[in-house]
Amino acid sequence: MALPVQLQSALSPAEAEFLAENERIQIEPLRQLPVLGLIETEIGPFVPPRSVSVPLWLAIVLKKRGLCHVKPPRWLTAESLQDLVQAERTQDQFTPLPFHYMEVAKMLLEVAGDDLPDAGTCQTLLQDLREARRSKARQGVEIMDQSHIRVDNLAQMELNELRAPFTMSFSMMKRLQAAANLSRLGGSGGGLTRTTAGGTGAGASGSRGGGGMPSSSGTAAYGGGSGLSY
Amino acid sequence: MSWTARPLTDVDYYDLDGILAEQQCLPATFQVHIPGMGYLDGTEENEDILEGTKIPLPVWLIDTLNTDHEMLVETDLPKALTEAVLRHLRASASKVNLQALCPYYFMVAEKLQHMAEGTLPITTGDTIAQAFQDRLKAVLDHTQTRLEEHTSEFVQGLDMVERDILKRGQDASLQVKRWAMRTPARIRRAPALGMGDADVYGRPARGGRQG
Repeated sequence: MALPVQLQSALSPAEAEFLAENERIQIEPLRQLPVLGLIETEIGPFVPPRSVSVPLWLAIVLKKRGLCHVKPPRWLTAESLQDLVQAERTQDQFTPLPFHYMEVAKMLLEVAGDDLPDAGTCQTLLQDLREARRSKARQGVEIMDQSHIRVDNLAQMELNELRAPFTMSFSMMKRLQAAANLSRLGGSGGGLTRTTAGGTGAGASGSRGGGGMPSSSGTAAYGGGSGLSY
Repeated sequence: MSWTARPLTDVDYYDLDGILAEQQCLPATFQVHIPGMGYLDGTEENEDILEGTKIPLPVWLIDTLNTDHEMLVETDLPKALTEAVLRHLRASASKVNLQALCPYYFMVAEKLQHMAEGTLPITTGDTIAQAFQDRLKAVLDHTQTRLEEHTSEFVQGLDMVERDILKRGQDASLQVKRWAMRTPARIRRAPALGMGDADVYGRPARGGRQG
């Protein structure tokens, strides 16, 4: 594949942002507009002051042309963010957040800052939230098992960031584990002889409790899974 | 470079890291007399390889010379897999300087275990796998916290696989950071003009000389 290395195994943040633009959001149109006949759906009609649910990309376009006011999603207010930061700091697990919270928040704060009450506090609270989650991600590495790690409630951007190093790590761990199993089971004695003493041949096969199958798992968020190649 | 869960012995013919890893040499003792290949020991003395000559050979060559039917060379354990090193790894994995021992430590260890097919001590594989996991914690921590670190002492002790993971992790975190600050879309004065990271009015981004 001729893709640059960073793009081979994960999305770029700009791509993640693009995907997030499909999220629906409420707007109040300022002018009357006819129904928009798009390929997938029809949006509209836009009759002020009734609010309409539109995809985020459309909301941004309209907002930039001064054709609407954006109604912020329920989680993007100072109080709810405050609660979320609090919950994040006290719990061990990641708190459930909208999957695209980082991208949506960023786009809205940039474009529709005047429609959001306390845009400034929201910004700082979001930073705090992000920091709290990042330190949790770091601790999560401690409990990594050889074939999978289960983490719930990670958002798109965070997932993306961790994808490349984690999949590479799991790949390598799996390979080393498979090699270790080979060593443990013994074999017919191939191309290598040792200078240290101690025959391992037949005696090895019964001695480890867990048997010979390398543990593999398809479950959970970070399955290193066979057949994953990048 | 592709990262897969298959062992090095399988396909991945074009994997650059695999090629470099297999280039590592092991001391090998020839079991047979091979005419005409005397130049392999690097000198011009002998025309043939006599039985019992010791020549360091790369892993890929040893692998092909020793098929199931006959073993043309006998090899010793490389320094990197001796009991002393393994003990050190068991005690404090992250303090071992793997780069100095063997830059492709984990890949070579994996390859050797496949070639040895069970003639290595039982715990070798487990020790190495566990060591990788222990060191991984420090590496992954670095990917999140030290985004610009490329040449510190810690990095110099890592083998190539770990360096790769570190680099990719740092790149990913940097990308998110730049995206958050909208760096690609901001107009900045070019660093070549001598101000580096000043905004379009000439005000420096971090307190520095004024334009």
